[in-house]
Amino acid sequence: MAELSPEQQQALDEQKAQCPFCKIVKGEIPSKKIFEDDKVLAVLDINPAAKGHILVMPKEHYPIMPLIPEDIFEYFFTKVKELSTTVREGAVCPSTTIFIANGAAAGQQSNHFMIHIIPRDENDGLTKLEPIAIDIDKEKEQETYNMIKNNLPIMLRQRYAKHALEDKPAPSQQPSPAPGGYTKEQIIEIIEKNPQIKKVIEEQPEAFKKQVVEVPQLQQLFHNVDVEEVIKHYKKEETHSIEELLELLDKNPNLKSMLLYQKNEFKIKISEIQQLKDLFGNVDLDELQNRVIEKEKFKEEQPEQKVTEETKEPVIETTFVEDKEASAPVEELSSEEIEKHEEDLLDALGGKKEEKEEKKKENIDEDKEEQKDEEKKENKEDVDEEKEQQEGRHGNPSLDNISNLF
Amino acid sequence: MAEINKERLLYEDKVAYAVLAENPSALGHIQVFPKQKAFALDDLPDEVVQQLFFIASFSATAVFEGLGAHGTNIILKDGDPETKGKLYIDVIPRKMEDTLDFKWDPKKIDPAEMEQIQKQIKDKADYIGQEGSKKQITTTTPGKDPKEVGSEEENYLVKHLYRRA
Repeated sequence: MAELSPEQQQALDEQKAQCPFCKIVKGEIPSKKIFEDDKVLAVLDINPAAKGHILVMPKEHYPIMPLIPEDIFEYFFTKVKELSTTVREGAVCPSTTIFIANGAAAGQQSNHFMIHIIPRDENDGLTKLEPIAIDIDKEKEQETYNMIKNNLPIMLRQRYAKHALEDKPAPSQQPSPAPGGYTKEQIIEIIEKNPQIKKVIEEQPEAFKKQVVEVPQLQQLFHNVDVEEVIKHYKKEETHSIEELLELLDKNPNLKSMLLYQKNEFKIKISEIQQLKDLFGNVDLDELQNRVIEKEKFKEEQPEQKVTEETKEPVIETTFVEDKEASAPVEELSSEEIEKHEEDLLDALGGKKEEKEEKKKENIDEDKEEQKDEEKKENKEDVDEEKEQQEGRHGNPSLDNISNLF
Repeated sequence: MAEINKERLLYEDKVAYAVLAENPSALGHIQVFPKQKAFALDDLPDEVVQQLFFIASFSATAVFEGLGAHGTNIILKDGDPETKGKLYIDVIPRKMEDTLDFKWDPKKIDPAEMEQIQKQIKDKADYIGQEGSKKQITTTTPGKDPKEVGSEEENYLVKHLYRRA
């Protein structure tokens, strides 16, 4: 039996309490019983289409056919078969019509699922029970055919397994989709079985969301489920340590520059770009800024650990350039901006500018040192790559390429 | 069965298949056939009968969901010689505003006749399950998780309740 929410269970309980057929089952309302065992009851219909018209119902209250558990369903329809034969014999008629109404539009009058067995005879005048053919738009029919052809075998997967064709074995067991797609719980079950998907959701929820919109299979999968809900389920309270962020900023020099010199714009970017929000959203930017400045100072004091290829480039005599040098290619700032930031930086670096510049120049002259540093840098890159792979970010915009977002 | 119209075939397994009806009463009208010849359900093993109704039930869910049908009628003529041994179940999508009408006019039958027909049928029904064939509810195949079916059903119920409300 399906697990119902408390509200649904309550609605169902209320339905049951009101249900005349539950009362018939309990014997509180009299009926003309035909057959009864512990699970099934058959009674004469008091508004019969024909003499001998019976109702067959599971004793348990199921509002609709798909809610009947599989074992009860099997038992019930075995009894229907037997009772239909019984009616043909007892009412002495060649055939019966077995009639089920699902939903009010189809004539279902009670919330207690039941079927009708109506004795039939030639010329009994019950033409209403015979479906009449109508004209159907061919194009619409083809569309409908395609849709059902796609959905029905999926829905019947478990039943197919019972009677699989020899040349077409039953597909591997997977949770069947609910009629309108999977439920959130099923989706999570599937995701749990696919660590790769899980990683993407955990680490790149935005990219994943985009995929759900773009990839038809995913679209179908999430037909019934709010992607945000699933992402939320996997969202780790990820707080990046200041150290991690500092490292990240080192790899993204234009981000770093922006933090140092255009903090307001940086803030705006954070609020606009989800990936940045995830990273910097919970961080005190003032503190981060101070830490970056501190780190820069430290680097300047021990420059031999930080020299990179870029130091070969002609050094423009501004303090700002030193920051640029510290890492990979940088988005050029306008000269006005540079000027604007120069002062700040001077303040921040506490007048160590000259000292630093000297040390840098020394390093450039020392070829040996540089080679060493290049090796170091290469090693560092390897480590970074490894880290990336471990974190499963390959193939997608990685955090290291965050600059591309600008 | 060689005569299955593959162009209308929706589902097929070892014992049964479903097609889009050749002469439909509504868009999405599905018919479910057993593969073996049968004039009546009684000609078929229990498992086949169960499978037919499962296919019918899922077909109903498929059109309920896929076509936005408000309901479905599932109709089977059991023992009808006109089917020439090709018994089938109709699954007909219904909408509130459609022109189909299966609603019969109740027949007035006097109480004595009701008593009589009840006795006639009940006498025959007394034989049900008395030939040592009483089925126990152990038919669930091992390895199947009923919960999986459960969530489908739940979903269907939720929608159904909303639609009714």
